[in-house]
Amino acid sequence: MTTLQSLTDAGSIIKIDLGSDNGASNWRILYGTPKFIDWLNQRIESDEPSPRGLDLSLSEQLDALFYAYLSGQTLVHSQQFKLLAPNENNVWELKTGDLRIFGWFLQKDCFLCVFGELADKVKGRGEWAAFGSLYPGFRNEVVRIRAEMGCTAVLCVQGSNPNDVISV
Amino acid sequence: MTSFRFDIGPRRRKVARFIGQVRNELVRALVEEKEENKFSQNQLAKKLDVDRSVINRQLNGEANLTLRSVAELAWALDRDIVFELRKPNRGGNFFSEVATGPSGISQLGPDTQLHGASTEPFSRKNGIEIHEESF
Repeated sequence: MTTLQSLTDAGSIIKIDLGSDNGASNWRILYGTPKFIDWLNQRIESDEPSPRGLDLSLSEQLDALFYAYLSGQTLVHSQQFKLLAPNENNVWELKTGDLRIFGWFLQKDCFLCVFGELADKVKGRGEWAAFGSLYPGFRNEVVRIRAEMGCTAVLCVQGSNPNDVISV
Repeated sequence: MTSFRFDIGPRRRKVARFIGQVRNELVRALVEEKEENKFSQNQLAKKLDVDRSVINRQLNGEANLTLRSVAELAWALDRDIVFELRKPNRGGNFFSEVATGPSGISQLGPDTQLHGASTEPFSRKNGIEIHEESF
């Protein structure tokens, strides 16, 4: 049976910690796939400014979101995290002003990040208008990867209520 | 690799967490007002004479918060503001006294819920203090 340990041992998932949090970030857990970790590294190295001109760069938005999530702070459903339709796929997104992160909850308070992308690109806005919405594609890819990892029956929190995935 | 440290450096981290915490504090105040006084985001927008989408973008990070907008939101939410810069406590782990963690859930709107609302003043979390006292 697939377990967190077996996924970690196989290198399928990598735990994400934050710099200089002095142990504060232990209320919730965050994992990423190797490809997502590569994407995170690119965000750090490139330090891209917000395409919308927001105060926080992309990597700063990620740090603020991860810190709020990991340290058990307030998360507002639909503003900072949201279940993608249709609900039965159990694919969730974490949100910043400019970014969307797609994945699923392996366990309650334990999210696996699979893809990260610019919100405007995901929504097919601006220069990406010709591509239309990428939401269905990301959702289906998360479902496919989850099945490949053997996490469909286990290590996938079911339920559409935010309370099912985030502790109250 | 079994773990990855997402480290953007102390300067950018200070910026990210300060702005994030200010925004979270405003959201927390709005949720409190909704719970206690049935004060909605629509009413907040009306009180500030702006469209609801402006408030929504400010609170979900899709628009910048200026000092003026923070102060006006605080006024509309009937909150005082305290801003203070403190020398950090280098001698110990200032997070050790933090009792953060999930507590409480409330509704912002039909499709919006607040999760894991911490009741701690966020000064203890970030070395930055903004809480409710007279200004």
